[in-house]
Amino acid sequence: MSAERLLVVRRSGALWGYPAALVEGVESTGGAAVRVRFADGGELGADSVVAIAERLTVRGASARILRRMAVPVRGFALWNDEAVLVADPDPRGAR
Amino acid sequence: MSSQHLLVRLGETVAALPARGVRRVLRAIKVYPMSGAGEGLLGLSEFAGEPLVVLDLARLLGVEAPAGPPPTVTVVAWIGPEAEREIVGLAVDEALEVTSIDGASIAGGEALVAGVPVRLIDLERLGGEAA
Repeated sequence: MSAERLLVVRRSGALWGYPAALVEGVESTGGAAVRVRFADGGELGADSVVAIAERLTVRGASARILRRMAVPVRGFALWNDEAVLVADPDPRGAR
Repeated sequence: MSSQHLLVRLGETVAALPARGVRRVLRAIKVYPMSGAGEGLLGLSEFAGEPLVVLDLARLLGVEAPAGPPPTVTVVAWIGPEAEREIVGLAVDEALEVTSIDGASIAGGEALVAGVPVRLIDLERLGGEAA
């Protein structure tokens, strides 16, 4: 377990958490959607920004659990009664 | 030699979990679904203030579960080999009792408990099979 500062965004209905330290900025794309820019120059689209969660407890995803996931994740967390899929700290693996 | 086991019901099947690997039995805990969760992965819950992955024990074992309400009891247990041990929730239909199973009564991964065949669960190997 680890306590992390995460940018929590909603993408296609699911909550995703990205290490806040790797996020350079968030900008509106005109409608309700946003674009998240990472320090390495990468970007991803999201439906909305949910929160910057301070010290969110992240449970790492073991190989045993990852085997049962359709999407690669680094771990899991809970935010306001919803599961958060925590993306890899390397933004290239997070998108 | 005998050892203590927690007997649980999975549909019509009775399974035995080594008691030493069981940390708690919880009823009706909230399980939050996870996007991208596949076969046997029910979602995420909270235990002792931390996220807890909840697995469907019947699905992990390939046990045919009758149509009906989802499992309502969660056994919090340690699974995996010593070096990779992790705590998870195992959803079951019912926790029955803790009983002692005599090693001499075990054959082919099953034991007879009060005349009932019981499937013995190896918590170290549970869920570790290749996809």
